[in-house]
Amino acid sequence: MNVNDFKNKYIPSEFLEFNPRLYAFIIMLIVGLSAFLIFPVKEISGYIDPFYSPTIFILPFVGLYRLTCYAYRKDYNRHIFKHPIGCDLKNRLDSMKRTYTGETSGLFKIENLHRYFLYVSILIVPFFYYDFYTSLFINNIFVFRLGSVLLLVNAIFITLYVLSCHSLRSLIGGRKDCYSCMSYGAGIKNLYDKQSWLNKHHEQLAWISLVFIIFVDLYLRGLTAGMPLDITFLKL
Amino acid sequence: MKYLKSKYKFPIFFIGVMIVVLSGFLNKFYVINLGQTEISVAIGFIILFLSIAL
Repeated sequence: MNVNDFKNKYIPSEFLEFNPRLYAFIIMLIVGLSAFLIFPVKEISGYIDPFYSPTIFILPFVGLYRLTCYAYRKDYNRHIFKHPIGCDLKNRLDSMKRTYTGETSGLFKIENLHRYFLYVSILIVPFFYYDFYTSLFINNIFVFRLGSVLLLVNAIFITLYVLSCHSLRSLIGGRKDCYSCMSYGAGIKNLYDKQSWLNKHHEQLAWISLVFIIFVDLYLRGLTAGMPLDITFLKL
Repeated sequence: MKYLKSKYKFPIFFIGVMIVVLSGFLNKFYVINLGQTEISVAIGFIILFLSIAL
């Protein structure tokens, strides 16, 4: 196999052309992730940072889950690769010259594994509620503080983001052709319709949950730095 | 009303993020002190917010 064959087979054309946005994105990703590793947040007054929640080893799975997410795929295909710019656009500017292969070529094949990253993410979600629960007690005394509220809201946003996933929609009932032919078909159809409603907001939930988890992380970093940000609502 | 052309938004956002993160790194490895870090992080955040807001 010569070099050109290797390029055509494994590296999508989007990665080979000159694209400053892609380089900037990759630099921000590398610098951002190394910053997370160099500046870890220790547990502060019962709060555990959501980024370091169970272990740092889960971060690759969460990162891959978000990277292969259908909502983020649309964003990076349009804004970073500019390919395709719009699905319904007849005149696709320069993309007419390029062959759009979607998730069938080279590195983009990893997008097909979104389902498996979803399974891992579903297992991770309860840990966010556990962090909220442990933040309610300091030395066996019940305290209800602003940080706990933020951790709970963060957990709810992440739950909604995971539950509105397109892969979960397929898993619940999207892959079925006939609901009346199967047992409990009406119930499954009902569940599928409700998840479909949630699925319409997947893109917003993806961005809200990402921004909010960064906000909670910055809040806890502020607490670690000694800023007077915490408010106690109730102490028993 | 958009004041900033969208092709300039991403580079300015990138510069803002880089100023914030690199000032953190420089402080960590004792190149600059805490006061200088606060100023450079504030400048970085202002650039970052301007790139989003304008």
